[in-house]
Amino acid sequence: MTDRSNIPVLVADDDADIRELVAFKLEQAGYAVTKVADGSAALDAIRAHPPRLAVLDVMMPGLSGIDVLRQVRADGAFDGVRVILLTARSRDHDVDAGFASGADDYVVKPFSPRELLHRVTIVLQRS
Amino acid sequence: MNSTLSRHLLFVAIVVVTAACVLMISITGVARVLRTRSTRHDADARDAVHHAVLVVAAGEDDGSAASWLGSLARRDRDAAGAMIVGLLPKLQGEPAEVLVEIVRGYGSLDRAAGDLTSRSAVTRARAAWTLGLTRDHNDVEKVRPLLSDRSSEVRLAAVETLGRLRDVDAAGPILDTLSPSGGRAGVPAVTVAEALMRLGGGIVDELRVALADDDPARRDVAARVAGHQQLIALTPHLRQLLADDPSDVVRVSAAEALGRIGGIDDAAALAATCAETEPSPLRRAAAAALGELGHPAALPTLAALLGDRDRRLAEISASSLLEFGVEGRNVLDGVAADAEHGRAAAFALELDRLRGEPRGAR
Repeated sequence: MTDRSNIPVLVADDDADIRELVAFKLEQAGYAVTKVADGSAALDAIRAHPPRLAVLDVMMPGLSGIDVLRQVRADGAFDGVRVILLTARSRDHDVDAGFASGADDYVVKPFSPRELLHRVTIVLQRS
Repeated sequence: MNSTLSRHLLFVAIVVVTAACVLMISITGVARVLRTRSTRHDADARDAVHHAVLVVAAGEDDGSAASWLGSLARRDRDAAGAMIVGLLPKLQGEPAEVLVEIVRGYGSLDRAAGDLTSRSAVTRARAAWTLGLTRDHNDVEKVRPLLSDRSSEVRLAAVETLGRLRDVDAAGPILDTLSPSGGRAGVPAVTVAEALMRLGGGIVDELRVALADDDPARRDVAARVAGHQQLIALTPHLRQLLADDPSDVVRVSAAEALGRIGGIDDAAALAATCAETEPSPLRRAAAAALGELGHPAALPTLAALLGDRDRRLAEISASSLLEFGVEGRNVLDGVAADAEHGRAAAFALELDRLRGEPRGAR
């Protein structure tokens, strides 16, 4: 397996079970994972220690994942941060809004952790 | 003599009280130690269960975690079952199937099937919801009767569950739950629409019937689902609804659907729907649909709407123009400097700039 121990990844989800599950899956694959439970904490974490990739839930208390994404994309200092949105919102216009805001990928719940891991790998390979 | 007896009695009383105090302190201490141990055991068990469920859910299990979870004592099964039931709606794939088998082994699904006829509406609704987590088509026959349950909460749970179980044959009965009956409220349109959207494209015939139904709620939901599922075979019916449905709500849904699945011919009808004589929600839906449709014939209509008195309509039209790429941006650039009519155009261009690379420049 590729050594991913130096690749920092942020996981932001207010659902503790999903946050732990995604973090666990990525840690098993070797990523260095930081976990936060809301959008404001995600933005703070990105500004303090920009990860290579952030997995953001869309519907979080306070700042949504889309809000976080827009603020990240508006700041050129974080051009290197790849973002995958993980959300239960599956309508076309939700997906369109995610990509229009600058998401690199969009994963809809219910999701397969294995597929999410593949997408993380692919998005990081593209960058 | 009396004094000696009194002293003796006092001594005995002191000994008894002291012994009682020591005994009580000892009992309290032992109870505290036992409680601490029990709490620690519970916490350790919870952590172990939590970790095992994560291993299975993540697809990282070699079989040992699932086997261990299946062999848990009754007191620890509750914690495992609660965590699994919380995770299942958000998971799919093989790990989800393994988790379903674990809760099936706990007897949770058999209990849920039995609870479908409970006297408590809350229990019936919870039972339907639990069975929906299995995504096992064999459960549809058990849940379908709940679509006509006397409780609106149970009917709602049944609609969601049958959507999750992808019960195509229930499309008609699910649509029936929209109608109030016997003084009971119908299931909300959004819930019915979302359930039908999960059923895939095999419900075209039911939707075609619903699009011509007397009930506007049915026509509305059918139009929404047709657009979402991109059921192009239904576009003639959607055009009809947009043209002359008596309900503005239905016409809005038809406009949105045509924006998604309509063709070149629909640009003119949608443009006509943007006329000032039409209701605001309909004009806005038509302007957004023109953006989704993306046909150049819509450019003059959207350009004219940039100066509309309805500020929201002007903003939607500006956003729609951005969907056209360079051509749309040229229209926006042309009016953005106009203080009176260019406000929405300037706002859309600025918003697009903040979002990143301008769409027209791609």
